[in-house]
Amino acid sequence: MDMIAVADDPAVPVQSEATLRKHPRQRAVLRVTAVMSSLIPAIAASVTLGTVLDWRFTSVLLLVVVAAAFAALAADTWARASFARFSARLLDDGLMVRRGVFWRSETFVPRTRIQHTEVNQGPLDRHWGMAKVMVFTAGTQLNSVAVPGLFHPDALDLRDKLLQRDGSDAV
Amino acid sequence: MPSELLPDGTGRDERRLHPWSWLFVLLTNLRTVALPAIVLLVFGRGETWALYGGIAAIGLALYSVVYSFGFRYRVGDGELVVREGIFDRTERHIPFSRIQNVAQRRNPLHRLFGVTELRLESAGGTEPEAKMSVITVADAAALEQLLRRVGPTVGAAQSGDTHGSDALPAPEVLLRLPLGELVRLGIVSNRGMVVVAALIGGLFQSGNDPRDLPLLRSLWSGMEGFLGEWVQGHGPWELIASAIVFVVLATLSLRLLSIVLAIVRHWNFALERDGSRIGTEEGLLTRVRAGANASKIQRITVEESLLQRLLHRRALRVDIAGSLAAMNEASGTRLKWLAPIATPARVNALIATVTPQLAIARDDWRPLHPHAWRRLAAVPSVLLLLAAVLGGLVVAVSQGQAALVDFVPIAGGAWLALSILVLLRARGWARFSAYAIDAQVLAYRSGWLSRDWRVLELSRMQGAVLHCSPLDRRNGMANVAIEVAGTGSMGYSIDIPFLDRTEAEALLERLIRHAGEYPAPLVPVPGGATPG
Repeated sequence: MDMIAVADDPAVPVQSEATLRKHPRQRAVLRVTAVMSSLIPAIAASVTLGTVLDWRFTSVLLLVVVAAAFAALAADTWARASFARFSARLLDDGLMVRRGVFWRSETFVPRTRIQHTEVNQGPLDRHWGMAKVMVFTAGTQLNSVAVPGLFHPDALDLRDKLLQRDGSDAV
Repeated sequence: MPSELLPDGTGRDERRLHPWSWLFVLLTNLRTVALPAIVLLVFGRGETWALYGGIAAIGLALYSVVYSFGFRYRVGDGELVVREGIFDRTERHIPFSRIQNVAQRRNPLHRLFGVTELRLESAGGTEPEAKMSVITVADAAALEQLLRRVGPTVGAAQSGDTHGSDALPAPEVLLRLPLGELVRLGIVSNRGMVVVAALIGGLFQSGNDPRDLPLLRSLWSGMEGFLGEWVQGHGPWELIASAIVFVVLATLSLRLLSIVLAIVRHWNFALERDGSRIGTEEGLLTRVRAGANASKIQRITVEESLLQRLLHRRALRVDIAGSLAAMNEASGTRLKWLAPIATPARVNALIATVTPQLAIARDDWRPLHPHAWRRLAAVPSVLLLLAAVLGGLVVAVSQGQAALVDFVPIAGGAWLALSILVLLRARGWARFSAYAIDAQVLAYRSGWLSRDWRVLELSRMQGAVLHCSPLDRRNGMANVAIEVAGTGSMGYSIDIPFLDRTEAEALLERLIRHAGEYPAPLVPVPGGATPG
């Protein structure tokens, strides 16, 4: 898929709201990633516990299944909340990203401080028409701010709007 | 070597490094790479890979020679052009306005040859933009002079005429550190302890037990024998008293080491102002000279530890944007300490001279959330309680419940003392900590026994964050952090914790509005910061 062609195609709706639309696939991506990464420690921990306590094989297996189920459920709940909590807004003076379930943050990057931006797409992203925008500044803690899970045309549009240096902006 | 070009800034000739440069490049390379190779060659019992190592070392030596003869630089139109490399030639154009830091390093060998190592650094990137190893002191001074003249923005805009005018004021010394101050600096610093710890760490890290080294082994066994006899010959009180004496002696000798190190490092310290350039020069053996334009200062920090407060002294530090590598480098060739030690009044006067907008003596300090101390004390108190209960359980299980009779008073006393300490610290910290914001700057001070003040200009903001943990939210609190360039990777440039939630939101809102009021950099710069 040619990135430029999509961006320039007038048939693709480019959203103009300040709050950026979230690609529904991002929710699935978050859930799958969270569940997968919760399973490994859950299984490892329950196998270790079962072995240390010298349980029978069937009991260990049961423990593994129960632990994995709980971990997956918790991870999935977290991922849904994470998707729901995430929002990115394009303000007049910069970009605002709100994220986090337990540890929450609202990050603001002024437009004038953006050094460069990146639009990333993995193979699956390309298949779904999804993209991630990375915004880089000269700060050290905030040297990059990611906006994942955007519709690809929206991502390109965001990139262009963030880098606009014409008119009143560049006084 | 002719050197007519620099002082008036019109020279276009290419210049080379000092003829002896290859020696210094070689020594630098030898230290990092070739020394292990030589060791292998000598002690490697003639194995073939040792031979290859030796060949590599010789190759490296040849490379250093060719490299330093191939290095060229010239002063272009408002920029410095550096050409380097042998097979892979690079030509770099460094606009003077982009240069954040200028630093010189002269170890005794440099001083013997009358040369210096000059580094020019811009923001971002990992390597210094240009490292000239080595050029004559006169050439370096001429380059510095040139940078100051055509150098950045503020000074140039105010004086109007930037080229050709010789009406530059003479450098003005803002601070000198006499020997007495250096001794005080040694007393308040922990450098001695750090060095000893690093030495011990290094000994253990070398793979073998340091007790196996012949000298240390004999020392160790002698000590062991002596201590064994001595312990048997004395009672418990004598042992405790001698342990105390030992600790006191060890502390004193570490402080003595700190004093020596402070003197060696900061000998003849001078803080100078030369136009808009601020620079320091210091060092007994290795002279380090570091400077930057005052307009490049990102943040100032004033530090006051308990010892410093007792001696009525503070320290003043600045952060300047630059490459990360140089920031992490231990050699410290970057303008950092404007005053390693000075009286509070002197520190305030220095701030007023160098960056008057960043004063720490203000009357608009705003307190944190009234319950900040509770929030601060909560986690350590709970942990202490848990530790006490767990300790009791362990004792009860392992030695029976009867043992608790002995355990409870001791552990309870310790728990009580530590809890009181936690509360005292929380109260003291919350009472002192405060922030201030006005049209130009954000200031934050915090601490209890050790205190610090941080001030930065809002116009340099790279980003702002409102963040809160579950515990913060439960208490209706939030933290607001602000980021500028060049303040290192240890957290945000200023992070104001435990604010009232609505106040935090209003503060973030205010920071966002500020960002709108400052114009974009006039020239979009690739990969570099142009603050201000």
